[in-house]
Amino acid sequence: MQPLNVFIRGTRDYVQGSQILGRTAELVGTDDSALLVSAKFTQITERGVLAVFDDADAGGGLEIGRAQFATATGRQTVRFCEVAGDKAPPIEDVPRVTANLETDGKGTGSTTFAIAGTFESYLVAIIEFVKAVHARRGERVTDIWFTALMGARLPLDASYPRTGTLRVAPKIERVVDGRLQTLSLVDTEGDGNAPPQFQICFSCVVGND
Amino acid sequence: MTREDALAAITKALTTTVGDIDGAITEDTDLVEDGMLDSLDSMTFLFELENDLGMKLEAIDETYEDFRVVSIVDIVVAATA
Repeated sequence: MQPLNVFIRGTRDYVQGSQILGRTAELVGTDDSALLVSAKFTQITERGVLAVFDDADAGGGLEIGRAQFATATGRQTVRFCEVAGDKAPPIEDVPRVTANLETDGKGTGSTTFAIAGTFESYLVAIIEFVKAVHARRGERVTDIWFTALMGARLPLDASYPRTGTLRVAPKIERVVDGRLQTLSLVDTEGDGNAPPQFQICFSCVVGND
Repeated sequence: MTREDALAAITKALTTTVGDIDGAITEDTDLVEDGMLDSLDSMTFLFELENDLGMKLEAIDETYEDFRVVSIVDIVVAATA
């Protein structure tokens, strides 16, 4: 069980999933072949986060998500648990890393990106992009959350393109308890080793009044 | 596709989504009510099922809520007829 060094960035009221996965990758990615395979977040938190490895005792902490990594020694499952107590400390926001957003307003879109080429910077770009595409799905779209990533083979090292284009295409959409839940496919093109296509899930509330 | 083939496709998509499942699913199983899928998993399950079938299941739209296996078998059999 390891506490993750996470923050509340900018004006957000939650700890970003990209931070949680980025800090966890630093603990998992000790070999060059380590990959993120899937991640799932069931709750947001504004508090600290513990990474609980495999079957270790979470100490009663509220589970907010989990991820699965492929490493040289096999699959590794990590559960993310909220730390009871104070909010995570604040940290300054960072500039946007995507530009030239194009979307049809129905979940299909593309964007260009410029990032540091690290695992976390790639996650930031993906989430920023898909969130922006969801924000254009109606006149008033709120509570847009990154909820899952599946079927991925995302290296944990800094092997990503630094510039390129991201594309997203919706595949499955459901309305559950008034929230739109989406599963979309993400494709990456760029000036380096682009990861293969994977699935990403978001949820949001779409209002058109 | 026969009902048996449809059930096999559903089982495969379910296994891909959640990993190994305890026991066999039958047409009496309700994937949500019986705790096999949460709302997030249900999207992955539908994605995997449509992917394996190589077709969009038009009867399953964004408001679809019936995750009884018997109902999904009906949809798959009708869609592949």
